[in-house]
Amino acid sequence: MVDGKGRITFVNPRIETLFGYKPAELLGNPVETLIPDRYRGQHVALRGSFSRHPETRPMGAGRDLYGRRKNGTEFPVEIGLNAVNKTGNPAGQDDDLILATVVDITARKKSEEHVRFIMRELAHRTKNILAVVQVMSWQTARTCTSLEDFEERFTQRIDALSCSHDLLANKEWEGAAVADLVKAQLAPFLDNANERLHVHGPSLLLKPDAAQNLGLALHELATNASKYGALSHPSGRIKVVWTIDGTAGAPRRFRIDWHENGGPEVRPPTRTGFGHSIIKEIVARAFTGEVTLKFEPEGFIWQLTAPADRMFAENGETVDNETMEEDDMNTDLLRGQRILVVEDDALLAMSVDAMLQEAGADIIGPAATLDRASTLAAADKLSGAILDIRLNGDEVWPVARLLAKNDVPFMFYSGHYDSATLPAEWAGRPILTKPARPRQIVGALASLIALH
Amino acid sequence: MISEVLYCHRILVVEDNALLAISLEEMLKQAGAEVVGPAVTLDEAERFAAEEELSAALLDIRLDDEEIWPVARVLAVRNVPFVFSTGHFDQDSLPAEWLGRPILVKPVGRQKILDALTDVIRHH
Repeated sequence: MVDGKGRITFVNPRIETLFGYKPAELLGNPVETLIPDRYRGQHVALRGSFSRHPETRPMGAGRDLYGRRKNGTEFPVEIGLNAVNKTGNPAGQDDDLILATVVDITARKKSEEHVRFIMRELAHRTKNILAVVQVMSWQTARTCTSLEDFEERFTQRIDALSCSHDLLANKEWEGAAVADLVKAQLAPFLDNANERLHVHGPSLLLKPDAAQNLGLALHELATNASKYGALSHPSGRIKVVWTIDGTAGAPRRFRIDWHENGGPEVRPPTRTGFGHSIIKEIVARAFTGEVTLKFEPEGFIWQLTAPADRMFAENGETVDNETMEEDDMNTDLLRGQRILVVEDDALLAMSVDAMLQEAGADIIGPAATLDRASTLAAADKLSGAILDIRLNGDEVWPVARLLAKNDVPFMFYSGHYDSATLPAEWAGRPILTKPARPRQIVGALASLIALH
Repeated sequence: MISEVLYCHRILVVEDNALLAISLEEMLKQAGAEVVGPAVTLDEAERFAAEEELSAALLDIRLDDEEIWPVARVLAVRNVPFVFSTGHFDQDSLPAEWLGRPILVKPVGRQKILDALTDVIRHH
């Protein structure tokens, strides 16, 4: 409540929550105390004009109003004005009071801004997606043999695009998980997806653009597989495996492999169209990465490696493979693999040994000393190795060198080193930091061997 | 058939969507142009804009989280005509600095792209 001279004559206790003043601190002071400096002069004049025409109304219709807290910070407000005629004298007298009702609208403003932002983004995305659809129709038309052919291919490509978008929409456009994208893009081609498709890799959230591009590539790969490759034959299978390298000092790289097997004998294509250009040039360019195609007789192989930084949403990525996405349980991941375990802590050695055995591996070791590890590394035909780095004062490097020489894939498992401090000699080699959970260790070893 | 309306012209293409970039490149090549780029990042685009011999440029405005303005300024200084292409801005919301510059709002057909480029080259 404010009198005709602009002095505060009454406030309710809520004022403290809103403005930070105790009621007693405000009584008798000018109402401009509650207004940011830059509006104060103007407010004195506006107050006068309200007194001359004291109709009940919202203050400053159409303008943004701000309140000023005791600590000097500002917040958006909405203010209703009511004239209270105290004396029964004609309105506009100095002793009339004005009741100002102040509402803090910070939350509403924020949500309005958010809605505006979403609308702008939506407009932008819509335009972009229409542009993509348009060039897709042009590209598809160029390599199609008939109108029916065009209709089929074009519709399938639009479906693939829409499928990636559904995944993104489900996560409110933050991104799409690699595993979800792989499964969703392959689903239309598989009657019984679980038996024929094996996906394995860390849980990673692709940025929207990356999801769109990778989604299209997976769609084209699946199309080719169903026409010429593993999915054209009942016994054919597809394995999709991805990893992120924790390389010392260098930017991390994402790698995804598509392996077909069990299909008809593979022959390199004689003619390449837009699909080929999607899986090769377009993804390579989109991710500034490298794509390799191998037309091995036993099955087609596609591999993409690219810098991880631009592909994945921040926070959406679990660098340490904490949650592995996989179709099958740990029980079979290392079936029949001979794994060398080097670990000088007996308790830890036992538990690593147990978890790898549970995953079906044959354990070589565990070796607790450098000598023992070197002997085992040299003697046995190994599928892979997990190496503790510090071994009672020695470091495991000679063993690692021996394995590298024999082309045995290995990973470090250390409490002292991480990907940033690993010596440059081992740049690109995976490293898990202790403690890691059994799933992480098994998963990392399985990926390592699968990608070798 | 599209005739080679851009025969022997060197066109800088800046577009961060790989699918669009490759398609634009093919469209322009079909029309006889020599394509510089496509550039996907601002750095790359700036380098091409500063160093390459160019007849015209087609500039996507938003690149990831950056905007194309520094590239446009380099081209303006070098007196290379250019056309903006975007899903974001339209004639009304283009910054005042670029008033009068042609802008294509996505999605935009092949013919319109070629028309816009031949237009800026002819009126240059």
